[in-house]
Amino acid sequence: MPDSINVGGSGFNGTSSATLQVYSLSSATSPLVLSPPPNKVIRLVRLSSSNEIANVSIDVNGQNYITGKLSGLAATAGNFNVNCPQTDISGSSFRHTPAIEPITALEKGQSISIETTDETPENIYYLVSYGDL
Amino acid sequence: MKEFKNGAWIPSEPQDGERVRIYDSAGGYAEMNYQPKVKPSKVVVTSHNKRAVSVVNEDLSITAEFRSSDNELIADFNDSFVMPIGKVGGENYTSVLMTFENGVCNRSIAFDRAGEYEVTKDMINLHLDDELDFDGFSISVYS
Repeated sequence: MPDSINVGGSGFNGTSSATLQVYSLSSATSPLVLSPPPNKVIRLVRLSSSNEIANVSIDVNGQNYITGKLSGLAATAGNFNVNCPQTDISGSSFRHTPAIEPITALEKGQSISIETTDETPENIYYLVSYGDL
Repeated sequence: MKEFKNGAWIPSEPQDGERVRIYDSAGGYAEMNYQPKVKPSKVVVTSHNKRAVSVVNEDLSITAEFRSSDNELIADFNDSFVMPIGKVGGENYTSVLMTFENGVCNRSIAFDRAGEYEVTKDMINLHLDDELDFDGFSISVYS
């Protein structure tokens, strides 16, 4: 059986990964463009932020994948993070962060970019891995 | 475009905000606006000098301040985080909620067992995304 990671139906054989990174994202510092080594496919394994960031777009190879508010702990329409499910119990409220699955590029050499139109700088935390399809 | 590869900037260190490529050890890279590393804020225990001594089951009062890397009190810091306290050389003893108001945290803790306890920089940062600096603190509890 091949050593592969299947997420959302795609076969991604992860061969290496970087470590968790931090970047202060704002409209002035956008976009953050993440690119794989030669002949590899990139996967955005995790994306989160300490505070909410409005209007964050993630593009894969120039095509928009998702746009919304990169969220902390608030399950409201339009919020998301990547692979950081969290649960918060506050008083009588139970809130669960909507986490989407890791995002994998379709072909070798394709980049994933993250940008926002929000002018307020906020730290984002991201983790990528590289592999073969 | 300047690049950071194998631990060095090519051809030279960029200016703050300059568009750059930073390579990781796997050979992938992130293209971004260069952001020089910011010195972290820190937690400073002001009630004691690196070590406190207490008696079993008696309240030990500790005061800590949230300061900038330049050692200035950050008076608009109002937040809280959970901080573990460990037994020296052993397991986690307890975890306490540190609540800062106007940059200052006042906390009382009673230890139910004699022994040597510690709070390290790693413990302070265990649940935090943005790392804080901390010199460490030890507590001796006797019966």
